[in-house]
Amino acid sequence: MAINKNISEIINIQNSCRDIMQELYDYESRPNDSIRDSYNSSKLNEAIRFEIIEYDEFNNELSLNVETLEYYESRLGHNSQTNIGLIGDKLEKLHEELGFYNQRVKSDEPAHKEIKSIYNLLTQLPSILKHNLRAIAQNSIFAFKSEPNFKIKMQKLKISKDEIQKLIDATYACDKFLNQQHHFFRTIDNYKINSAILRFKKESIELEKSFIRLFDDIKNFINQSIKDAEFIKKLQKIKTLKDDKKLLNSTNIEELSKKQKIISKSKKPKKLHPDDQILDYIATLRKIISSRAIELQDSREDSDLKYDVNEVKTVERKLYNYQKLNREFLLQDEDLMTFLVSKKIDEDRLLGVFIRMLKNYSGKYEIESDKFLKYENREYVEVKKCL
Amino acid sequence: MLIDVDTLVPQHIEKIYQTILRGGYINENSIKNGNADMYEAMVNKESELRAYFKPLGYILMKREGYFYFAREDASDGEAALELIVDYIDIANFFKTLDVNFSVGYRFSLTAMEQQLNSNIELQDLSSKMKGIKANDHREFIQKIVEKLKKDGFLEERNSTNAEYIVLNSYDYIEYFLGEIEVYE
Repeated sequence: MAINKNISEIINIQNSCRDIMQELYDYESRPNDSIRDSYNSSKLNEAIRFEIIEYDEFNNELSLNVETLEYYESRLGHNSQTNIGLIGDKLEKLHEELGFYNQRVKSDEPAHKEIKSIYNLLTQLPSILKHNLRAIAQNSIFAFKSEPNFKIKMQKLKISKDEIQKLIDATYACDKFLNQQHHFFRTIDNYKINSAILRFKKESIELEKSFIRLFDDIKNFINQSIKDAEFIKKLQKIKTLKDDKKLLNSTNIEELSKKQKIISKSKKPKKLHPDDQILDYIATLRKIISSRAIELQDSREDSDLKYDVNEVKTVERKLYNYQKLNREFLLQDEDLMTFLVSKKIDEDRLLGVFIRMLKNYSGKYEIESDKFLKYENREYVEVKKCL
Repeated sequence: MLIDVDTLVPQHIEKIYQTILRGGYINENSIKNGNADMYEAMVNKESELRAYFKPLGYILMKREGYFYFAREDASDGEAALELIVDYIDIANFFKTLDVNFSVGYRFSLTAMEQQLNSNIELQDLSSKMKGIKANDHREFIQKIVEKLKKDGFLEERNSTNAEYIVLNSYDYIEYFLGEIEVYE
Protein backbone atom coordinates (compact mmCIF):
# COMPACT_ATOMS: atom_id res chain seq x y z
CA MET A 1 0.00 0.00 0.00
CA ALA A 2 1.37 3.41 -0.99
CA ILE A 3 2.09 5.66 1.97
CA ASN A 4 2.00 9.41 2.16
CA LYS A 5 5.46 10.82 2.75
CA ASN A 6 6.62 14.32 3.53
CA ILE A 7 10.11 15.70 3.88
CA SER A 8 9.89 16.57 7.60
CA GLU A 9 8.77 13.02 8.47
CA ILE A 10 11.67 11.55 6.47
CA ILE A 11 14.15 13.88 8.21
CA ASN A 12 12.69 13.03 11.64
CA ILE A 13 12.87 9.28 11.04
CA GLN A 14 16.43 9.53 9.74
CA ASN A 15 17.40 11.58 12.80
CA SER A 16 15.87 9.12 15.22
CA CYS A 17 17.60 6.19 13.48
CA ARG A 18 20.94 7.84 12.83
CA ASP A 19 22.97 5.43 15.02
CA ILE A 20 21.57 2.38 13.22
CA MET A 21 22.00 4.07 9.85
CA GLN A 22 25.61 4.93 10.60
CA GLU A 23 26.30 1.36 11.63
CA LEU A 24 24.57 0.01 8.54
CA TYR A 25 26.49 2.46 6.35
CA ASP A 26 29.78 1.27 7.83
CA TYR A 27 28.55 -2.29 7.43
CA GLU A 28 28.02 -1.63 3.71
CA SER A 29 31.70 -0.68 3.55
CA ARG A 30 32.65 -3.89 5.37
CA PRO A 31 30.51 -6.56 3.74
CA ASN A 32 32.32 -9.40 5.49
CA ASP A 33 31.06 -8.42 8.91
CA SER A 34 27.84 -9.94 10.17
CA ILE A 35 25.03 -7.62 11.10
CA ARG A 36 23.38 -7.78 14.50
CA ASP A 37 19.72 -8.46 14.61
CA SER A 38 19.16 -6.87 17.99
CA TYR A 39 17.60 -3.63 16.75
CA ASN A 40 13.93 -3.31 17.44
CA SER A 41 12.12 -0.10 17.98
CA SER A 42 9.10 1.74 16.63
CA LYS A 43 11.42 4.23 14.91
CA LEU A 44 13.20 1.42 13.13
CA ASN A 45 9.86 0.03 11.98
CA GLU A 46 9.00 3.47 10.64
CA ALA A 47 12.32 3.65 8.79
CA ILE A 48 11.55 0.28 7.22
CA ARG A 49 8.03 1.43 6.33
CA PHE A 50 9.46 4.60 4.70
CA GLU A 51 11.98 2.44 2.75
CA ILE A 52 14.95 4.21 4.32
CA ILE A 53 16.12 0.91 5.80
CA GLU A 54 15.38 -2.51 4.39
CA TYR A 55 14.65 -5.63 6.36
CA ASP A 56 15.25 -9.10 4.97
CA GLU A 57 12.86 -11.38 6.88
CA PHE A 58 14.36 -14.52 5.45
CA ASN A 59 17.90 -13.81 6.74
CA ASN A 60 16.75 -11.57 9.59
CA GLU A 61 19.11 -8.84 8.34
CA LEU A 62 18.92 -5.07 8.16
CA SER A 63 20.50 -2.95 5.44
CA LEU A 64 20.31 0.55 4.07
CA ASN A 65 17.93 1.02 1.18
CA VAL A 66 19.88 1.28 -2.11
CA GLU A 67 18.75 4.86 -2.76
CA THR A 68 19.53 5.92 0.81
CA LEU A 69 22.95 4.35 0.50
CA GLU A 70 23.56 6.01 -2.88
CA TYR A 71 22.53 9.38 -1.45
CA TYR A 72 24.99 9.18 1.45
CA GLU A 73 27.76 7.74 -0.70
CA SER A 74 27.35 10.62 -3.16
CA ARG A 75 27.33 13.17 -0.32
CA LEU A 76 30.46 11.61 1.14
CA GLY A 77 32.17 11.15 -2.23
CA HIS A 78 32.20 7.34 -1.74
CA ASN A 79 29.96 6.45 -4.63
CA SER A 80 32.03 4.68 -7.23
CA GLN A 81 29.17 3.93 -9.63
CA THR A 82 29.36 5.88 -12.84
CA ASN A 83 26.30 7.37 -14.53
CA ILE A 84 27.66 9.03 -17.66
CA GLY A 85 24.42 8.35 -19.55
CA LEU A 86 22.69 10.71 -17.15
CA ILE A 87 24.53 13.66 -18.76
CA GLY A 88 22.85 12.96 -22.10
CA ASP A 89 19.50 12.59 -20.35
CA LYS A 90 19.96 15.89 -18.55
CA LEU A 91 20.92 17.66 -21.79
CA GLU A 92 17.82 16.25 -23.45
CA LYS A 93 15.72 17.41 -20.52
CA LEU A 94 17.36 20.84 -20.73
CA HIS A 95 16.53 21.00 -24.41
CA GLU A 96 12.89 20.18 -23.63
CA GLU A 97 12.69 22.79 -20.87
CA LEU A 98 14.10 25.44 -23.20
CA GLY A 99 11.36 24.49 -25.67
CA PHE A 100 8.67 24.82 -22.95
CA TYR A 101 10.13 28.17 -21.92
CA ASN A 102 9.98 29.31 -25.54
CA GLN A 103 6.32 28.30 -25.85
CA ARG A 104 5.45 30.05 -22.55
CA VAL A 105 7.10 33.29 -23.68
CA LYS A 106 5.38 33.14 -27.05
CA SER A 107 2.04 32.62 -25.30
CA ASP A 108 2.80 35.50 -22.90
CA GLU A 109 2.57 33.12 -19.95
CA PRO A 110 4.77 33.24 -16.85
CA ALA A 111 7.79 30.88 -17.24
CA HIS A 112 9.13 30.82 -13.62
CA LYS A 113 8.79 27.04 -13.35
CA GLU A 114 10.77 26.45 -16.58
CA ILE A 115 13.47 28.93 -15.52
CA LYS A 116 13.82 27.09 -12.23
CA SER A 117 14.09 23.73 -14.04
CA ILE A 118 16.65 25.15 -16.51
CA TYR A 119 18.67 26.57 -13.60
CA ASN A 120 18.54 23.24 -11.72
CA LEU A 121 19.65 21.27 -14.77
CA LEU A 122 22.51 23.68 -15.45
CA THR A 123 23.78 23.32 -11.88
CA GLN A 124 23.34 19.53 -11.88
CA LEU A 125 25.49 18.94 -14.98
CA PRO A 126 28.89 19.97 -13.50
CA SER A 127 28.30 17.93 -10.34
CA ILE A 128 27.41 14.86 -12.44
CA LEU A 129 30.62 15.35 -14.45
CA LYS A 130 32.64 15.67 -11.22
CA HIS A 131 30.98 12.66 -9.64
CA ASN A 132 31.82 10.54 -12.69
CA LEU A 133 35.39 11.77 -12.77
CA ARG A 134 35.79 10.84 -9.09
CA ALA A 135 34.12 7.45 -9.58
CA ILE A 136 36.25 6.53 -12.62
CA ALA A 137 39.41 7.62 -10.79
CA GLN A 138 38.48 5.52 -7.72
CA ASN A 139 37.59 2.47 -9.80
CA SER A 140 40.72 2.59 -11.94
CA ILE A 141 43.07 3.13 -8.99
CA PHE A 142 41.40 0.32 -7.07
CA ALA A 143 41.63 -2.01 -10.07
CA PHE A 144 45.29 -1.16 -10.65
CA LYS A 145 46.45 -1.35 -7.05
CA SER A 146 44.23 -3.95 -5.46
CA GLU A 147 42.74 -6.28 -8.05
CA PRO A 148 44.67 -9.54 -7.72
CA ASN A 149 43.20 -11.20 -10.85
CA PHE A 150 44.99 -9.98 -13.97
CA LYS A 151 42.13 -10.59 -16.40
CA ILE A 152 39.59 -8.82 -14.19
CA LYS A 153 42.06 -6.00 -13.59
CA MET A 154 42.55 -5.47 -17.33
CA GLN A 155 38.80 -5.61 -17.97
CA LYS A 156 38.14 -3.04 -15.26
CA LEU A 157 40.88 -0.74 -16.51
CA LYS A 158 39.54 -1.04 -20.05
CA ILE A 159 36.06 -0.10 -18.78
CA SER A 160 37.52 2.92 -16.96
CA LYS A 161 39.39 3.96 -20.12
CA ASP A 162 36.19 3.74 -22.19
CA GLU A 163 34.26 5.60 -19.51
CA ILE A 164 36.70 8.49 -19.32
CA GLN A 165 36.57 8.73 -23.10
CA LYS A 166 32.76 8.83 -22.91
CA LEU A 167 32.96 11.43 -20.17
CA ILE A 168 35.22 13.63 -22.30
CA ASP A 169 32.75 13.28 -25.19
CA ALA A 170 29.87 14.12 -22.84
CA THR A 171 31.68 17.29 -21.70
CA TYR A 172 32.19 18.32 -25.33
CA ALA A 173 28.48 17.65 -25.92
CA CYS A 174 27.63 19.95 -22.98
CA ASP A 175 29.94 22.69 -24.29
CA LYS A 176 28.49 22.30 -27.78
CA PHE A 177 24.94 22.53 -26.42
CA LEU A 178 25.70 25.69 -24.46
CA ASN A 179 27.32 27.28 -27.51
CA GLN A 180 24.40 26.33 -29.75
CA GLN A 181 21.93 27.83 -27.27
CA HIS A 182 24.10 30.87 -26.60
CA HIS A 183 21.67 33.34 -28.21
CA PHE A 184 18.70 31.71 -26.55
CA PHE A 185 20.26 32.04 -23.08
CA ARG A 186 21.05 35.66 -23.84
CA THR A 187 17.38 36.28 -24.63
CA ILE A 188 16.31 34.67 -21.36
CA ASP A 189 18.68 37.12 -19.63
CA ASN A 190 18.13 35.69 -16.18
CA TYR A 191 20.97 36.46 -13.77
CA LYS A 192 20.72 33.04 -12.02
CA ILE A 193 20.89 31.18 -15.32
CA ASN A 194 23.69 33.43 -16.55
CA SER A 195 25.73 32.78 -13.40
CA ALA A 196 25.06 29.00 -13.66
CA ILE A 197 26.32 29.02 -17.28
CA LEU A 198 29.42 31.01 -16.35
CA ARG A 199 30.15 28.63 -13.46
CA PHE A 200 29.60 25.63 -15.73
CA LYS A 201 31.98 26.99 -18.38
CA LYS A 202 34.65 27.74 -15.78
CA GLU A 203 34.36 24.29 -14.21
CA SER A 204 34.27 22.67 -17.64
CA ILE A 205 37.71 24.11 -18.47
CA GLU A 206 39.15 22.87 -15.16
CA LEU A 207 37.51 19.47 -15.53
CA GLU A 208 38.87 19.01 -19.04
CA LYS A 209 42.43 19.07 -17.68
CA SER A 210 41.49 16.51 -15.00
CA PHE A 211 39.84 14.25 -17.59
CA ILE A 212 42.91 14.26 -19.80
CA ARG A 213 45.18 13.61 -16.78
CA LEU A 214 43.01 10.71 -15.65
CA PHE A 215 42.91 9.34 -19.20
CA ASP A 216 46.74 9.37 -19.25
CA ASP A 217 46.86 7.78 -15.79
CA ILE A 218 44.57 4.95 -16.89
CA LYS A 219 46.70 4.36 -20.00
CA ASN A 220 49.75 4.18 -17.73
CA PHE A 221 47.94 1.75 -15.40
CA ILE A 222 47.14 -0.47 -18.39
CA ASN A 223 50.71 -0.35 -19.71
CA GLN A 224 52.15 -0.99 -16.26
CA SER A 225 49.77 -3.91 -15.72
CA ILE A 226 50.79 -5.44 -19.04
CA LYS A 227 54.44 -4.98 -18.07
CA ASP A 228 53.74 -6.62 -14.70
CA ALA A 229 52.03 -9.54 -16.42
CA GLU A 230 54.99 -10.01 -18.78
CA PHE A 231 57.30 -9.90 -15.76
CA ILE A 232 55.28 -12.60 -13.98
CA LYS A 233 55.30 -14.76 -17.10
CA LYS A 234 59.07 -14.40 -17.38
CA LEU A 235 59.51 -15.06 -13.66
CA GLN A 236 57.55 -18.30 -13.94
CA LYS A 237 59.69 -19.36 -16.90
CA ILE A 238 62.89 -18.60 -14.97
CA LYS A 239 61.53 -20.53 -11.98
CA THR A 240 60.82 -23.57 -14.18
CA LEU A 241 64.34 -23.40 -15.61
CA LYS A 242 65.72 -23.20 -12.08
CA ASP A 243 63.68 -26.19 -10.95
CA ASP A 244 64.88 -28.13 -14.02
CA LYS A 245 68.48 -27.10 -13.27
CA LYS A 246 68.77 -25.40 -16.67
CA LEU A 247 69.00 -21.85 -15.40
CA LEU A 248 72.71 -21.24 -16.04
CA ASN A 249 72.72 -22.73 -19.54
CA SER A 250 69.44 -21.29 -20.72
CA THR A 251 69.77 -17.69 -19.54
CA ASN A 252 72.31 -14.87 -19.31
CA ILE A 253 72.02 -14.86 -15.50
CA GLU A 254 75.73 -15.59 -14.95
CA GLU A 255 76.83 -12.80 -17.26
CA LEU A 256 74.42 -10.38 -15.58
CA SER A 257 75.63 -11.39 -12.12
CA LYS A 258 79.22 -10.59 -13.06
CA LYS A 259 78.18 -7.10 -14.09
CA GLN A 260 76.48 -6.43 -10.76
CA LYS A 261 79.67 -6.26 -8.66
CA ILE A 262 77.58 -6.19 -5.51
CA ILE A 263 79.10 -6.24 -2.08
CA SER A 264 78.56 -9.70 -0.68
CA LYS A 265 76.35 -9.91 2.37
CA SER A 266 77.32 -13.44 3.18
CA LYS A 267 81.07 -12.94 3.28
CA LYS A 268 82.38 -11.24 6.39
CA PRO A 269 84.82 -8.38 5.83
CA LYS A 270 88.46 -9.30 6.19
CA LYS A 271 89.74 -8.86 9.70
CA LEU A 272 92.78 -6.72 10.22
CA HIS A 273 93.84 -8.99 13.05
CA PRO A 274 92.34 -12.27 14.31
CA ASP A 275 90.88 -10.45 17.30
CA ASP A 276 89.54 -7.53 15.35
CA GLN A 277 85.80 -7.04 15.26
CA ILE A 278 83.83 -5.33 12.54
CA LEU A 279 83.59 -2.23 14.70
CA ASP A 280 87.37 -2.01 14.86
CA TYR A 281 87.36 -1.91 11.11
CA ILE A 282 84.95 1.01 11.22
CA ALA A 283 87.10 2.66 13.86
CA THR A 284 90.09 2.36 11.56
CA LEU A 285 88.17 3.89 8.71
CA ARG A 286 87.02 6.64 11.01
CA LYS A 287 90.65 7.31 11.99
CA ILE A 288 91.64 7.52 8.35
CA ILE A 289 88.87 9.97 7.66
CA SER A 290 89.60 12.11 10.71
CA SER A 291 93.31 12.24 9.99
CA ARG A 292 92.48 13.28 6.48
CA ALA A 293 90.29 16.03 7.86
CA ILE A 294 93.13 17.16 10.17
CA GLU A 295 95.51 17.20 7.25
CA LEU A 296 93.13 19.40 5.36
CA GLN A 297 92.58 21.62 8.36
CA ASP A 298 96.35 22.04 8.74
CA SER A 299 96.57 23.33 5.24
CA ARG A 300 93.67 25.70 5.82
CA GLU A 301 95.97 28.75 5.67
CA ASP A 302 97.37 27.81 2.32
CA SER A 303 94.33 26.45 0.61
CA ASP A 304 90.58 26.92 0.64
CA LEU A 305 90.11 23.58 2.47
CA LYS A 306 88.80 21.91 -0.61
CA TYR A 307 90.37 19.28 -2.67
CA ASP A 308 89.70 18.52 -6.22
CA VAL A 309 88.43 15.01 -6.78
CA ASN A 310 89.43 15.11 -10.41
CA GLU A 311 92.88 15.78 -9.07
CA VAL A 312 92.81 12.29 -7.58
CA LYS A 313 93.28 10.99 -11.09
CA THR A 314 96.29 13.23 -11.71
CA VAL A 315 97.77 12.45 -8.31
CA GLU A 316 97.62 8.75 -9.08
CA ARG A 317 101.25 7.71 -9.16
CA LYS A 318 102.70 6.74 -12.49
CA LEU A 319 104.45 3.41 -12.25
CA TYR A 320 107.88 3.28 -13.86
CA ASN A 321 109.39 0.11 -15.18
CA TYR A 322 112.81 0.30 -13.48
CA GLN A 323 114.13 -2.85 -15.16
CA LYS A 324 113.38 -1.42 -18.58
CA LEU A 325 114.88 1.95 -17.63
CA ASN A 326 118.02 0.20 -16.39
CA ARG A 327 118.33 -1.80 -19.63
CA GLU A 328 118.02 1.33 -21.71
CA PHE A 329 120.45 3.25 -19.49
CA LEU A 330 123.08 0.56 -19.91
CA LEU A 331 122.75 0.82 -23.70
CA GLN A 332 123.76 4.49 -23.81
CA ASP A 333 126.56 6.69 -22.49
CA GLU A 334 124.89 9.64 -20.75
CA ASP A 335 124.90 10.02 -16.96
CA LEU A 336 121.85 8.80 -15.04
CA MET A 337 120.32 12.21 -14.36
CA THR A 338 120.61 13.35 -18.00
CA PHE A 339 119.26 9.99 -19.11
CA LEU A 340 116.20 10.25 -16.83
CA VAL A 341 115.50 13.81 -17.96
CA SER A 342 115.67 12.62 -21.56
CA LYS A 343 113.12 9.92 -20.65
CA LYS A 344 110.73 12.67 -19.59
CA ILE A 345 110.40 11.44 -16.00
CA ASP A 346 107.97 13.70 -14.05
CA GLU A 347 109.96 16.53 -12.50
CA ASP A 348 108.55 15.92 -9.04
CA ARG A 349 109.40 12.24 -9.32
CA LEU A 350 112.87 12.70 -10.81
CA LEU A 351 114.77 12.55 -7.50
CA GLY A 352 112.79 9.49 -6.36
CA VAL A 353 113.36 7.59 -9.59
CA PHE A 354 117.06 8.59 -9.54
CA ILE A 355 117.47 7.19 -5.99
CA ARG A 356 115.49 4.03 -6.77
CA MET A 357 117.66 3.31 -9.86
CA LEU A 358 120.79 3.89 -7.87
CA LYS A 359 119.55 1.69 -5.03
CA ASN A 360 118.40 -1.14 -7.32
CA TYR A 361 121.30 -1.29 -9.70
CA SER A 362 124.25 0.31 -7.84
CA GLY A 363 126.38 -2.76 -8.66
CA LYS A 364 126.16 -1.94 -12.35
CA TYR A 365 126.78 1.79 -11.98
CA GLU A 366 129.87 3.89 -11.40
CA ILE A 367 129.43 6.81 -9.01
CA GLU A 368 131.66 9.90 -9.43
CA SER A 369 131.28 11.16 -5.84
CA ASP A 370 133.11 14.41 -6.48
CA LYS A 371 131.17 15.36 -9.61
CA PHE A 372 127.69 16.88 -9.47
CA LEU A 373 125.22 17.94 -12.12
CA LYS A 374 122.65 20.62 -11.42
CA TYR A 375 119.04 20.32 -12.56
CA GLU A 376 116.05 22.36 -11.38
CA ASN A 377 117.83 23.69 -8.27
CA ARG A 378 119.02 20.22 -7.26
CA GLU A 379 122.45 18.71 -7.55
CA TYR A 380 122.70 15.11 -8.65
CA VAL A 381 125.85 13.07 -8.25
CA GLU A 382 127.20 11.90 -11.59
CA VAL A 383 126.31 8.23 -12.17
CA LYS A 384 127.42 6.32 -15.23
CA LYS A 385 127.25 2.72 -16.35
CA CYS A 386 130.23 0.55 -15.50
CA LEU A 387 132.58 0.26 -18.38
CA MET B 1 84.93 18.75 -9.04
CA LEU B 2 85.60 20.30 -5.66
CA ILE B 3 84.57 18.46 -2.53
CA ASP B 4 84.20 20.20 0.78
CA VAL B 5 84.83 17.28 3.12
CA ASP B 6 83.40 19.18 6.09
CA THR B 7 80.00 19.45 4.46
CA LEU B 8 79.93 15.93 3.04
CA VAL B 9 76.98 14.63 5.12
CA PRO B 10 79.28 14.20 8.17
CA GLN B 11 76.37 13.10 10.40
CA HIS B 12 75.64 10.19 8.04
CA ILE B 13 79.09 9.15 6.87
CA GLU B 14 79.50 6.45 9.55
CA LYS B 15 76.15 4.89 8.61
CA ILE B 16 77.08 5.03 4.95
CA TYR B 17 80.27 3.08 5.72
CA GLN B 18 78.24 0.55 7.71
CA THR B 19 75.87 0.21 4.75
CA ILE B 20 78.84 -0.44 2.46
CA LEU B 21 80.26 -3.09 4.79
CA ARG B 22 77.03 -5.06 4.99
CA GLY B 23 76.11 -4.50 1.32
CA GLY B 24 72.93 -2.69 2.30
CA TYR B 25 70.57 -0.17 0.74
CA ILE B 26 69.55 3.35 1.71
CA ASN B 27 65.84 3.72 1.05
CA GLU B 28 63.69 6.80 0.68
CA ASN B 29 60.61 4.95 1.98
CA SER B 30 62.31 3.60 5.09
CA ILE B 31 61.38 5.43 8.26
CA LYS B 32 63.77 3.58 10.57
CA ASN B 33 67.27 4.59 11.72
CA GLY B 34 67.05 7.97 10.02
CA ASN B 35 67.24 6.31 6.59
CA ALA B 36 64.90 8.80 4.91
CA ASP B 37 67.02 11.73 6.20
CA MET B 38 70.18 10.00 5.07
CA TYR B 39 68.64 9.37 1.64
CA GLU B 40 67.69 13.04 1.31
CA ALA B 41 71.16 14.17 2.39
CA MET B 42 72.71 11.78 -0.13
CA VAL B 43 70.48 13.07 -2.93
CA ASN B 44 71.73 16.58 -2.23
CA LYS B 45 75.39 15.46 -2.26
CA GLU B 46 75.09 12.64 -4.77
CA SER B 47 77.86 13.59 -7.18
CA GLU B 48 80.24 14.58 -4.36
CA LEU B 49 79.65 11.27 -2.56
CA ARG B 50 80.11 9.33 -5.78
CA ALA B 51 83.43 11.08 -6.34
CA TYR B 52 84.43 10.63 -2.68
CA PHE B 53 83.88 6.86 -2.64
CA LYS B 54 85.30 6.17 -6.10
CA PRO B 55 88.98 6.30 -5.03
CA LEU B 56 88.06 3.89 -2.19
CA GLY B 57 86.87 1.37 -4.76
CA TYR B 58 83.11 1.75 -4.29
CA ILE B 59 80.61 2.98 -6.87
CA LEU B 60 77.57 4.76 -5.48
CA MET B 61 74.53 3.52 -7.38
CA LYS B 62 71.17 5.30 -7.43
CA ARG B 63 67.90 3.89 -8.64
CA GLU B 64 64.31 5.01 -8.14
CA GLY B 65 64.14 5.87 -4.42
CA TYR B 66 67.24 4.07 -3.13
CA PHE B 67 71.02 4.03 -3.06
CA TYR B 68 73.43 1.13 -2.82
CA PHE B 69 77.12 0.55 -3.38
CA ALA B 70 78.88 -1.69 -5.87
CA ARG B 71 82.52 -2.72 -5.96
CA GLU B 72 84.67 -1.04 -8.53
CA ASP B 73 87.10 -3.91 -8.91
CA ALA B 74 86.33 -7.04 -10.90
CA SER B 75 83.97 -9.43 -9.20
CA ASP B 76 83.26 -13.07 -9.91
CA GLY B 77 79.55 -12.38 -9.65
CA GLU B 78 79.11 -15.30 -7.25
CA ALA B 79 77.40 -13.20 -4.57
CA ALA B 80 75.00 -11.60 -7.05
CA LEU B 81 74.18 -14.95 -8.60
CA GLU B 82 73.58 -16.51 -5.17
CA LEU B 83 71.27 -13.62 -4.20
CA ILE B 84 69.21 -13.64 -7.37
CA VAL B 85 68.83 -17.42 -7.52
CA ASP B 86 67.47 -17.32 -3.95
CA TYR B 87 65.02 -14.62 -4.93
CA ILE B 88 63.59 -16.36 -8.01
CA ASP B 89 61.47 -18.56 -5.73
CA ILE B 90 60.70 -15.78 -3.29
CA ALA B 91 59.63 -13.26 -5.95
CA ASN B 92 57.54 -15.90 -7.69
CA PHE B 93 55.89 -16.85 -4.39
CA PHE B 94 54.93 -13.26 -3.59
CA LYS B 95 53.71 -12.52 -7.13
CA THR B 96 51.54 -15.64 -6.97
CA LEU B 97 50.23 -14.47 -3.62
CA ASP B 98 49.41 -11.02 -5.02
CA VAL B 99 50.34 -9.66 -8.45
CA ASN B 100 50.64 -6.24 -6.83
CA PHE B 101 53.49 -7.34 -4.56
CA SER B 102 56.18 -4.82 -5.41
CA VAL B 103 57.83 -1.66 -4.08
CA GLY B 104 55.55 0.13 -1.60
CA TYR B 105 53.30 -2.92 -1.03
CA ARG B 106 51.93 -3.20 2.51
CA PHE B 107 50.82 -6.38 4.18
CA SER B 108 50.37 -8.10 7.50
CA LEU B 109 51.69 -11.52 8.47
CA THR B 110 48.18 -12.64 9.37
CA ALA B 111 46.74 -11.67 5.97
CA MET B 112 49.55 -13.52 4.20
CA GLU B 113 49.10 -16.56 6.39
CA GLN B 114 45.37 -16.60 5.60
CA GLN B 115 46.10 -16.46 1.88
CA LEU B 116 48.62 -19.28 2.19
CA ASN B 117 46.09 -21.35 4.16
CA SER B 118 43.49 -21.02 1.42
CA ASN B 119 45.63 -21.21 -1.73
CA ILE B 120 46.83 -24.63 -2.87
CA GLU B 121 49.19 -23.17 -5.51
CA LEU B 122 50.93 -21.13 -2.84
CA GLN B 123 51.16 -24.15 -0.56
CA ASP B 124 52.77 -26.10 -3.39
CA LEU B 125 55.29 -23.30 -4.04
CA SER B 126 56.12 -22.99 -0.35
CA SER B 127 56.71 -26.72 0.03
CA LYS B 128 59.16 -26.64 -2.89
CA MET B 129 61.25 -23.85 -1.40
CA LYS B 130 64.00 -26.02 0.05
CA GLY B 131 65.87 -23.18 1.70
CA ILE B 132 63.03 -22.36 4.08
CA LYS B 133 62.18 -25.08 6.56
CA ALA B 134 59.02 -24.44 8.53
CA ASN B 135 56.57 -26.50 10.57
CA ASP B 136 53.49 -24.56 9.57
CA HIS B 137 52.30 -21.77 7.27
CA ARG B 138 52.75 -19.06 9.89
CA GLU B 139 56.37 -20.06 10.47
CA PHE B 140 57.00 -20.20 6.72
CA ILE B 141 55.67 -16.66 6.23
CA GLN B 142 57.66 -15.45 9.25
CA LYS B 143 60.89 -16.95 7.90
CA ILE B 144 60.47 -15.63 4.37
CA VAL B 145 59.59 -12.16 5.71
CA GLU B 146 62.59 -12.30 8.06
CA LYS B 147 64.88 -13.04 5.10
CA LEU B 148 63.58 -10.08 3.11
CA LYS B 149 63.91 -7.89 6.18
CA LYS B 150 67.48 -9.05 6.79
CA ASP B 151 68.41 -8.48 3.15
CA GLY B 152 67.09 -4.90 3.34
CA PHE B 153 63.96 -5.25 1.21
CA LEU B 154 61.27 -5.05 3.91
CA GLU B 155 60.60 -2.95 6.95
CA GLU B 156 58.22 -3.51 9.83
CA ARG B 157 55.76 -0.65 10.16
CA ASN B 158 53.59 -1.87 13.01
CA SER B 159 54.98 -4.42 15.43
CA THR B 160 51.63 -4.92 17.19
CA ASN B 161 49.89 -6.12 14.04
CA ALA B 162 53.09 -7.37 12.36
CA GLU B 163 52.57 -5.06 9.36
CA TYR B 164 55.30 -4.58 6.78
CA ILE B 165 56.12 -2.43 3.79
CA VAL B 166 58.21 -3.43 0.77
CA LEU B 167 61.12 -0.99 0.51
CA ASN B 168 62.24 0.70 -2.70
CA SER B 169 65.36 -1.49 -2.72
CA TYR B 170 63.19 -4.48 -3.73
CA ASP B 171 63.32 -2.87 -7.17
CA TYR B 172 66.91 -4.20 -7.34
CA ILE B 173 65.56 -7.77 -7.37
CA GLU B 174 62.75 -7.02 -9.81
CA TYR B 175 65.07 -5.07 -12.11
CA PHE B 176 67.65 -7.87 -12.07
CA LEU B 177 65.01 -10.54 -12.77
CA GLY B 178 63.54 -8.38 -15.52
CA GLU B 179 66.95 -8.12 -17.19
CA ILE B 180 67.39 -11.88 -17.43
CA GLU B 181 67.13 -13.12 -20.99
CA VAL B 182 65.88 -16.62 -21.62
CA TYR B 183 67.52 -18.22 -24.65
CA GLU B 184 64.96 -19.82 -26.92
